[in-house]
Parts: sequence; structure tokens; C-alpha cells
Amino acid sequence: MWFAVKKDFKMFLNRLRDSTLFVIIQIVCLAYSLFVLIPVLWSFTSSFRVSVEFFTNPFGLPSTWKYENFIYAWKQGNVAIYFRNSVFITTVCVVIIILLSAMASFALSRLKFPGRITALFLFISGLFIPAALLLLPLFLMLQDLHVLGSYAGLIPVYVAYSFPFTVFVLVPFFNVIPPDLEEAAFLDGASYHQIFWRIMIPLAKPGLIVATIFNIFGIWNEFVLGYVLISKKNLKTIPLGLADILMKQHYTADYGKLFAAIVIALAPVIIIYLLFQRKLTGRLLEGAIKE
Amino acid sequence: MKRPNSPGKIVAFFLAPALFIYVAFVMYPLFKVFRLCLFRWHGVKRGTEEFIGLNNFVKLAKDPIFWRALSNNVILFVFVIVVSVGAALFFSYILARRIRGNRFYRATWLFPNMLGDVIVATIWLFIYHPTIGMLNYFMKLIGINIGAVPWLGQANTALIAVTMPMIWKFTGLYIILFLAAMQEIPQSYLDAARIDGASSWQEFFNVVLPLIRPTVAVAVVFLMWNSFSVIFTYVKLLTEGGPHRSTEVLPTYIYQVGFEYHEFGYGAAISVAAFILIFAMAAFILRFLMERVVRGEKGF
Repeated sequence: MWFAVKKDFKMFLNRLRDSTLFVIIQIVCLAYSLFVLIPVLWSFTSSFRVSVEFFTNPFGLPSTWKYENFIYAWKQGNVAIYFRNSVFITTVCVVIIILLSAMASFALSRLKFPGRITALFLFISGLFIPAALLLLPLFLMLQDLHVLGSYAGLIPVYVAYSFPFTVFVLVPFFNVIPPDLEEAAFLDGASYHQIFWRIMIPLAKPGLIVATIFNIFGIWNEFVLGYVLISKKNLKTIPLGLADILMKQHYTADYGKLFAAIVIALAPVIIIYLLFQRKLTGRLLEGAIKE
Repeated sequence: MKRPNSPGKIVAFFLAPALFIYVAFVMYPLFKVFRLCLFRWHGVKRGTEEFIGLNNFVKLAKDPIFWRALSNNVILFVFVIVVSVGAALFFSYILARRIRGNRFYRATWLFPNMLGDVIVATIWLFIYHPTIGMLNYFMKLIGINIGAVPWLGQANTALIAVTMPMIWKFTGLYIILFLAAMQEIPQSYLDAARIDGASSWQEFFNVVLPLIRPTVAVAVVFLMWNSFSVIFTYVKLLTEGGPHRSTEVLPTYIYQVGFEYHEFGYGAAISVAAFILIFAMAAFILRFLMERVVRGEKGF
């Protein structure tokens, strides 16, 4: 009899322990989520705040919602220009990066030629060459080429520094495509170009999508290279423009407009994130075909 | 089946454009920085470079700011790695258990990773604000009354304060990466551990962690690679290297030496010192990365 009671008691303890653990884990997870979300939500509400309210009521909801912050940021704050520049630079760079990386990854993965491993090594070793340590020679080089401070200089630099990561992501996706497919295509008389566009690109699509998303975020948010290579106001991208506004607002304390500019910069990122969130939070960089 | 070599024209067509841009804008500047470090040059007029051999490195060895920047750089990097990888292991293991709210947590935690460094730095600049900042307000709220602490403005808190936004941003990405690796682990391994009576701790340290170690290694490499640009952005926007060089790091010091003091040769020497450090660490990791790419494993 006492034995059964003891067993029940033990089960009760176990269940208690499990449910306490469950509650603790949920509290920890929620706390972390708040840690992530509160600063973001605060930025959103702050973009509608009258600047004086940053000092009188920094954490509550704004007493009056000042939509004019956005209009001001967009027009007088030059965010319209920065935004247009960023859309242009991001589009051009990502298209070039993905096209050239896919071609190179195809060659490095599926073609057979002497020096293949060396070339692959050259690209992958770029993962250890941070652009931030090459600011001086890059600056001098673009100066010598007379493209310093222009997009003709910025675009190839952005493209070049995106190759190592993109190739590193894409090559494995090409590797796992079964060789029978291209051999069959060869026998049917398909050219290399047809094989690339008709077989390789469709099968490597999951990898291409992930690489595209990462590159969009990477270029849209890039700061260091742009900061050194671009100085004209009408050529600045969103991060450069925001840094400008930030440094200026230190003196004028016009914080509401600063956060309006931030929210505008965030909008496309949030839209893309919501669209592709499932893809990104799922199995991130999975090969096209299971081995 | 042994295939013959592909036609050279085809190889060139697919490979050459990327290779050319890459060599011209990544490899050539790398070569150039190794050459530039042997000269004294103010960086304006071409042809006025003065060859001084290794003198820049002699100067470097005696430059206290360089050593300060180097140690700050290492401290920053190690701190960010330990905290964000540690936290990510913890949270990804929780998510791997498919707790309630799984999908919400994943989407929320990854989100800051999509924000640009400039935006994250700006937000944290306000969190740290002495009078209107959230951090001091929160401290007061939980009963720690320390007044208007200028987190970024005093030497003993500035460096750690600079790491927090990076941890805030990067942890989510690691959670997703580690989670993906954990989900690859065959259920039978975990069942076997359970049958043998392993606790969650034992399961994590003896089964899960050894199996996802390659992913952790790759994650660390990417952080290392990214860290110089990232660190530059945060230090530049949050503290400008101050107060009193307490947050000076290598890339900000290179920037200052080159573009503000106009000592291009000396700036290049600092870059080279950083590269030697990186290559020493990279040597064995690189071989491991190559194996993954050549054998055709997934990127992470």
C-alpha cells in the first residue's frame, strides 16, 4: 500500500518538475523575445514622437502622433534620395552577384579543368579577407582608376566582396545535383549553356534564393565600404544617410525625424523578411537534393 | 566514370567574369597592402613614397594605441562569440524540443539579424542614453538605483556596452543555424541516449554538441570574417573609439591613421599585422571549410 502511494507521489513530483521546467523555459523564451522586440517597437512608436517628448515621455505611447516626421525625413532629410540610391545599388549588385556566382559555382562544381581546386580555394579563402582591413588600398586603387566616390567604383567592390560567401553557399548545391541528369542531357546533344540554364539553375534554386536574400540584406545594409568610398550626399545609400542624420541629430536633438528615417529604411527589410521568413527560419542552407 | 576535361572556352566563359572581379578588387588590394606597409607615405601625391623596410613594424611594436586596439579587438571578439554562441546553443536546444510558440520564437529571434548595423547601433545609442535611455530606466525599475550612468561614456563600461548590440543582433542567426544542425541528428541517436538513461544535460553534451560541432565552427568563422566590418560600424557610431581609446579597435585605428593622420604606410602595417593574426587562425579552419565545399556538404 505505502509502495503505491510512494510511486504516485514520485509521479506527482516528476510532473511537477516537468511543468515547472515548462513554465521556466517559457518565461526565459518570452524574456528573450521581449529583449529583442522592445527596442524595435520603441523605435516604431518613437518615429511618431514630437521631439520634446523624448525628454518628457520617452517610453510611453506618443501623446500626439506626429506623422509629419516621416514627411520631413523623406523630403528635407533626403531619405527619398538615399532610398532611391539603395534600391538602385542593391538591385544592380545582387543581380550581378547572383548571376556571376552561379556561373562560377557551376564551373567550380560541375566542369572539369586543371586548377579547379585552386580556384575554389582562392574564392573560399576570401572568407578570411575582411574588407574593413583593406580600406586604405581600396581607396587608393579606386582613386587611381578615377572611380573613387562613384558607383562605377562602389559596385564592383560590393560585388567582389560578396563572392566568397555566395560561392561558399552555392557550390554545395551544385555538387549534390546527380551527374546522370547532365550526362543524359549531353547525350541528347545539349550545350553547356543549355545545361546551365535548363538543368543547373532550376535544381540549385533553393540555394540561389537563400544566397539572394542574404545578399539583398548585405548590400542594403552595407556601411563600412560606402562610408570610405562615397562622400557625395546625392550618392549616399540608406545606411550612409542614416549615419549622417544620426551625427547631425546629436546636435539638434531632433530624434523623432531620425527614427522616422529608420522606420522608412526598415520597411523593405521587414516586407522581405515576412515574405521569406519561413524559408529563412526553416532549414537554412539545405542542398537541393538529399544525398 | 572518368570525364574528359571541359573545353577551355566554356570554363573561361563561366568562371572568368567572377574570377576577374574578385582578383582585381579583393586579391590585388590584399597584395597592395602588403607592399604599402614597407613605405612611408602621406597618401596624396603618387611617387613620393619612401621605402623604409620594416620600420613601420618597429614603430608598431612600440605603439601603445596599437596594442590597446588589438587587445580591445580580441576581447570584443571573444566576448561576442562566447555569449552569442553560448546563448544560441541554449535556445536552439530548447527549440529543438518543439516547445509551444516554437515558430513565433524563431521568427522573433532571427529578426534583429535582418536589421542593418547602422540601425542597430542607433537604437542602442538610445538604449544607453544617460538620461532618456531604456537601460537606466530599466535599472531603476528593478530597484537598482545608480542614476544617470553614461554607459558609453566611461572607460570601464564602454567596451562591454559596445558588444551588446552585436550579441543582440547575431544570436538569432546562430540559433537558426544550430537548430537546423540539431534537426539533422537522427532520432535514433537521441532515443538510444534516452534508453541508456541519459539526462537532458548528458544528452546535450555527449550526443548533440559533438554532432553539431562543425556547424558551430563554421558559425565562428563567419563571425570572425564579418567582425572587422561590424566592429568598425558599431565603434564608429557608438563611441568613436573613446573614451580615451577604451573602445579603439584595429579597423577604426587603421581608418584614423590612414584618413585622418595621412600615414598610409603605417596604416597598411596595422592591416598586415591584423592579417597575420587572421591567417594564423585561418590556416586550419580553411582546410576544414574546403573539405566541406569539395565533398559537397551543405554550406553550414
